[in-house]
Amino acid sequence: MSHCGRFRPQPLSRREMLSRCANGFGSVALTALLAESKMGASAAPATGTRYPFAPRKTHFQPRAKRVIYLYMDGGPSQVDTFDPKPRLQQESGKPFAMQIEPTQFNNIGTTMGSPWKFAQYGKSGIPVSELFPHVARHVDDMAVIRSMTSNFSSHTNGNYFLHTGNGQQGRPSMGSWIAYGLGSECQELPAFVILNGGLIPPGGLDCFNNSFLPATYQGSIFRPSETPVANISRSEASDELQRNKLQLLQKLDNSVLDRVGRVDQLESAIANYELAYRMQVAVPDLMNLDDETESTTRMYGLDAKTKGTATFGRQCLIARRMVERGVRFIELTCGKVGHDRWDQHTKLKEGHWDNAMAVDQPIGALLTDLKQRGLLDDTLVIWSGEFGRTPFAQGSNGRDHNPFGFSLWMAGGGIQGGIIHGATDEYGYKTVQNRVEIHDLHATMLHLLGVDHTKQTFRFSGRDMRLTDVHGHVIHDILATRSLSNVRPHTTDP
Amino acid sequence: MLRVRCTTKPFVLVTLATVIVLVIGDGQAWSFTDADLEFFERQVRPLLVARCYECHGPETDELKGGLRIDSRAAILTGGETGPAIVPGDPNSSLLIDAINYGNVVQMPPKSKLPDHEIAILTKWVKMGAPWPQTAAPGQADPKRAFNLQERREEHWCWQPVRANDPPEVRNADWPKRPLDFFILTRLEAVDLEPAETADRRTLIRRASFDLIGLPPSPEEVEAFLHDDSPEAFEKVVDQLLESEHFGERWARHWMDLVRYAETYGHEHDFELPYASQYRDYLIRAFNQDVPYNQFVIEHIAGDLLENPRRHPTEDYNESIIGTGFWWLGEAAGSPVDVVDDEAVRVDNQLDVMSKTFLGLTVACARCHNHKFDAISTKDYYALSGYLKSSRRVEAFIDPGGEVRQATDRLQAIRGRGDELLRQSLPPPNDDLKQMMARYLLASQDAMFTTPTAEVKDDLDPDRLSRWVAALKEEATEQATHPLHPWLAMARHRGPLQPQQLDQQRRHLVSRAAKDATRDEQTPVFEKFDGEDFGDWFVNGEAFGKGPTRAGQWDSRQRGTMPARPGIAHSGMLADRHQGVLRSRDFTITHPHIMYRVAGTGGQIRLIMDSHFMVVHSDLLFVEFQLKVDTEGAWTWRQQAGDIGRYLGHRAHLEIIDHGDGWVAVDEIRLAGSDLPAAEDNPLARRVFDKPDLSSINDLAEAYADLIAESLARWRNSNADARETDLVRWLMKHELVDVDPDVRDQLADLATQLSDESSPMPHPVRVLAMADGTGQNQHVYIRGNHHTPGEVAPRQSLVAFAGDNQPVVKNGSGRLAFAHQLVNPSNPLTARVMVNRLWHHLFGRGIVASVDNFGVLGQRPTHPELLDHLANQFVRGNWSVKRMLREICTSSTYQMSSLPTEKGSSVDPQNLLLHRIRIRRLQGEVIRDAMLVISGRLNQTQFGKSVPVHLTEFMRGRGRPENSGPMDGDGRRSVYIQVQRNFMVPMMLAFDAPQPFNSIGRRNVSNVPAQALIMMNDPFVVEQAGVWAKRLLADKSRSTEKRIYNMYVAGIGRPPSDAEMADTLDFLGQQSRALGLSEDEGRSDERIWKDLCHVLMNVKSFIFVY
Repeated sequence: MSHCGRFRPQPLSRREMLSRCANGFGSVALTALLAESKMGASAAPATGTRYPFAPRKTHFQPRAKRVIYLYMDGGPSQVDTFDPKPRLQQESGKPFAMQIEPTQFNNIGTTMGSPWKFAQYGKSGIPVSELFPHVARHVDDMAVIRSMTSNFSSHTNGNYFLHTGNGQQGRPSMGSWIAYGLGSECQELPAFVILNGGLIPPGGLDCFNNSFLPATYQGSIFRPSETPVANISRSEASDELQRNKLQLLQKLDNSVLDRVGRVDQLESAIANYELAYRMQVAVPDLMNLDDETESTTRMYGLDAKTKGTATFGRQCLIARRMVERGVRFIELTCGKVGHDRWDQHTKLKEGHWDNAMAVDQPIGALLTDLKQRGLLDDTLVIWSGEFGRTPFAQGSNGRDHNPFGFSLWMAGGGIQGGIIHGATDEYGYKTVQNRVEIHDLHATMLHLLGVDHTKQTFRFSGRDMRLTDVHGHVIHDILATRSLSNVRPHTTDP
Repeated sequence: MLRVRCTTKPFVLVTLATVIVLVIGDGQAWSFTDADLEFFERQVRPLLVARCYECHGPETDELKGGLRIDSRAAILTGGETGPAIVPGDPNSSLLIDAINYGNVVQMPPKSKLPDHEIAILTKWVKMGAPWPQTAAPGQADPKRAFNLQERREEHWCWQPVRANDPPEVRNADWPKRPLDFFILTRLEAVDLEPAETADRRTLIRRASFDLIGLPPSPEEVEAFLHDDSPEAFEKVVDQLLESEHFGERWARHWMDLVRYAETYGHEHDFELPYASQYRDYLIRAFNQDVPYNQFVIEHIAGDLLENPRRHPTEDYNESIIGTGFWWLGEAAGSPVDVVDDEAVRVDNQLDVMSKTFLGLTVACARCHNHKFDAISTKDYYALSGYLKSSRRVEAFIDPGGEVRQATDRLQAIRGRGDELLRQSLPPPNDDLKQMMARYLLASQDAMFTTPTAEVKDDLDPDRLSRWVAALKEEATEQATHPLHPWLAMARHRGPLQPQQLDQQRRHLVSRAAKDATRDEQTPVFEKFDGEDFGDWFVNGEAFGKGPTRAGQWDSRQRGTMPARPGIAHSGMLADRHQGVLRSRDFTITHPHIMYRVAGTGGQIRLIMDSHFMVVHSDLLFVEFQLKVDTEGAWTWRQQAGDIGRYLGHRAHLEIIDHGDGWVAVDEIRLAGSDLPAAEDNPLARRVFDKPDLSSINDLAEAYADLIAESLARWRNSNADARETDLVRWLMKHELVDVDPDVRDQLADLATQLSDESSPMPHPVRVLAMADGTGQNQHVYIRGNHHTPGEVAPRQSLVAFAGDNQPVVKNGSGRLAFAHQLVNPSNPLTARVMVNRLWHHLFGRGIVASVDNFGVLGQRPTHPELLDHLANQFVRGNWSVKRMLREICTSSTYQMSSLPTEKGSSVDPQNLLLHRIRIRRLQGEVIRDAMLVISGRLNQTQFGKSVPVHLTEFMRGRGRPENSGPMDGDGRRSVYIQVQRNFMVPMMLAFDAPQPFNSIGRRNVSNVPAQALIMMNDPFVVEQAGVWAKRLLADKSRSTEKRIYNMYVAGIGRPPSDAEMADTLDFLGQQSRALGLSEDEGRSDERIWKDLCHVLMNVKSFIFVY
């Protein structure tokens, strides 16, 4: 039986719908689909493979099966969140003591201390600023990397770089690579989903593109609206009308097969309709939160008064529901809180506060919820922007882009909790210890998913392309202890 | 933590008395005491071992950056970026810069060294880098040398195209065309038979989609079915090749190669102007079957052709539009590192160019010699030089040559004006001099002594009052006016005192000296005082053939007035003219650029490191663009802003007239701060330098001499600007007599100028390439622009053209490169193109990796066939249509797609082409086919693109304000705007490529989004409705006949009996579901719409076989 939903009993109505569809127009295709899902293939799937989402063999035993990427569009400030700098406070208002690199806006102000206080949390005592009280409770599950670097000072290049490992438009997004490499555990939802909070990061939808990978691995944007996915609602007035059409279609398609031969391409295109039909049911079911308890929805902040919290809370809750259904890579993007995302070139205090208030409670709830349900162990959660912000002011009260040193955190899915990795200088400007590049982040993410980043390739115009290009090192220091001798081939199929 | 491989070996400390070690290595001898050496051994060496040896030590597998640091000699030799240290000078030592995390490299890469370790190494370098004198450790194995010739000889694609006769075959009846022999012989070798010939319905549908991208009409199908002639299919192919839709289909294939888009993508998705003209150029070129070699030349260097191809009816330069392809890439608005931004753009341009025309991945050689192919890094930078010497321009094309012709007439009129005016002025003689002197003196009296004094008899009172008015004018208050010192002197009544004269002379000399200092501090960039524009590049008609010159009529003023010489002026003939003047490349040395300008609606732009996006965003580039709107007055304008941040960068200037205004510039200076006003008065100096000046009368006579000289020089066309100004001043105030007849004639010429210019059309602008200052590019070591290496003279790939290519003397050299590409000795250009044609007709190229013929690409399945076709292509005058006809009329192309058991087992991937491959249609074709079948297709060709229809899922910065119509106005997909950040979702789902790079072979994926679109997308549903409405409008048909026609139109064949029965059943089912009677159902639009919708979803709608 197809167990798309991850171990969780699904409401009856949905089962009914599924079985009706299974016995309906596409039973032949469905049988084929189920047979296919048991097949594994470690090689790259050929373009046009019938069931491209079938789970595939990983290079070694994965510690995480999926990723939730909390993308903090705009670049949160490291020195105001996870990287406290006493010296910055002491010299606040004075000329910045280090040599200043070219910045995006070239409007250099004085050294600017953080407006927020830091406190230590958990057994590990990792300091977190007042911006993230809920997230802070989970520090013992988190590895905080304080030595991130990027190669770009502009959002668009930075976004492309973070998402695709290349600063220019036109490479596959990390979610596409992961969908391509691992396939899906779910046959009725896409493997790579962007839960959009309302803002599209600079660089546009190409941040989520499949590029030269087959369109199969394209990120699907779920919008925060009634119809989250394009064309997901049937165009007919009733299910009966649609089914009649699909039945006639099946007959005509079968006669095409009779005439042309049972060619794989045609059969898979026919099977596609099966999947599409089931998505029409599965997606609304996913988005419908009626089966969540009130305490759950409250925990996620769906009733919160602060701006944007309910929207992001809903995204986080749906992310958990997607995790349960086996979606492979879920990226959450920010919503509108009345400022320009985390990009506070002016009014840092107001902007960062509002942005943090929108996401803090929902993220805290997501971590709690995943942990309670035993899902955090094999779900990798990553929180990051595309770069950080300057420790000196832009103008009087903002901060400019800073790719030379910034912070992110990772939790769950094989991550060693309660540790801090790397460091910036005394001002939090540049990485000086254990420099981590975006390629290293990608390599580590793939590693946790059981994929050797140097081996996951796609031949495109004469090169074996990789998410990490020719770079990338796994950050072993942040991985939960496990003897490496355990490494052995393993399929992700449960 | 840094992982360290510890390779320290024990060492013995020298503890004897002071030992002096002499080391010679950097051209000088350093002597070190044993204390120095102890410092090295105790502090420095362990540090080098611990921190650096992992990548730069004696046991490193792959030496990073080519640098070893296990001997002093190795450190002094350095790596790819040169010596690692300068002994004694830490500030100039790259190693010290690197450990301080400087600009070039940051070492060690993972963590910066602790301060005290940095201090140790710095001290060590400062000491002269003491190192015990030992034999230098053995050099690392030299890297396996990159041997271009070896690689060239080893790989098939570089070998000459061989002439291959068709091979022998057993079944001699089957081949129709030479190419069939090549296919058949391979099939016979494995004992396979080619598939049967496909039935006619299949054939015409296949050919129609392949050649024009649209389904055949039922009438065309019928005609073919009933054509018994042996050449029936040939006729079909010929008709399709002649169809005006042919170009639309093949242009779209080409657009995939040149990453065609109409916006720049990136953050704000700014509009990429004029792209659609390039698209139209492609459609025309394919329809006209422009020989492919010509087509290639036009792309690379269409701007440089002496005899460009003209549009057949509009008679404009077509060739130049081809160069637009260079500029269709992504572009960023405000790059922090503008040189890097340029390097990335050049990378993309070379990547697209080399893949498209050569099937080579040249861009792989940007940072290192190509890992597999016979392409060196130097090759890459040699090609970069072509681009460095070229510029992005908006070229003017001139439909019908109307602007050119009008300009010729305007110039002729102006020439007559020049002649007339020169004749009109009185030849300066003694009388004139005398008169001038007398009026000067008389006006002096009138102004300063006795305003009412009686006018001398022989002086004209009117003229005298004009003199007085002229001298009282504001202009003479300027110290630089030649008569300014006259007025100063004339205030003094009575005889001239020698000290007054001396004082005035000293004054004039000191002013001249000030100007000399000014010239030194603010060097002149341009004065436009030559015969022509010199090393400036002229674009368009507005600026004419050169700057204004002495002796010319001021045709802009239209009056009776000489033109000031030395002005680059875009409005001398007509405001309607447009044009751009581009300077040579220069290095920015001053933070300010000063222009003496006048104009209305003009612009001046500083293009630095080819960053043209400043039009859209001036963030980080403040004041790189200046508007010139001076209401006609001359003024100094300053360009400063961010320029000072970019000293040392390469740039050029653009003086732009892009509208119905004008712009004029007569001097450009570079400055450190504000420009002091000019003070020199050379004409007055000439007067006061005369000896024997003793009275005011002498001075008046000297001035009269000056006036006469100026007039004479002006008549001889060799007056300078000051002299011309004096003449203009005299004429303005009518202090010289101009023949009234000439005045009338000039007025008449002015009318003629207006009459000629007002109907003159505006030029049309297109995106193009133009030559700039010719220059070579340095190799960027490891692709890093901070580390320039040797110069790579611009030339073609060494693997084609050898090592001894002619040096490019003038301009970019692109034209020679273009000719080299299409020289039949180049083995790739023809092969790559015929392979592309084959790929589009068979779904797989003979070389499957159509954009990469290199080592990592796939080998040709039929190498002899590939060469045969390439030869045929060149012999057939590079005709694309002829080649397509050759292939389509072959037996191979006409095979059926039906799989056979034997075929599937012997040739499972169908590499030998034992049958035709089933292919899914491209997104564009699926959409176009729906429009054809619904009857909605709007056949309009060319022109501005239809804006993309925006759904709520298409969001982000740069989202257009207005959405286009859902059905794209019924236009073919090739005419729908390609908005980089807002691509049409249906196209993306069906694998239309993102336009960032050459994509000769699209993916063919299979995703639920495709099914969801076909089932639920409002556009698809709407077209089903349009079709249904059209079907029902014809009441004369029976239900069965109607169904019959639908099948024929929709999927190219009539329904079987079973299908007919199923379809009729379906009508009944939908009627019941809607609560209608069977009869009602048979005329219910909703139900027919459902049926139409189903037919559009049948797989044979989106597949050809």
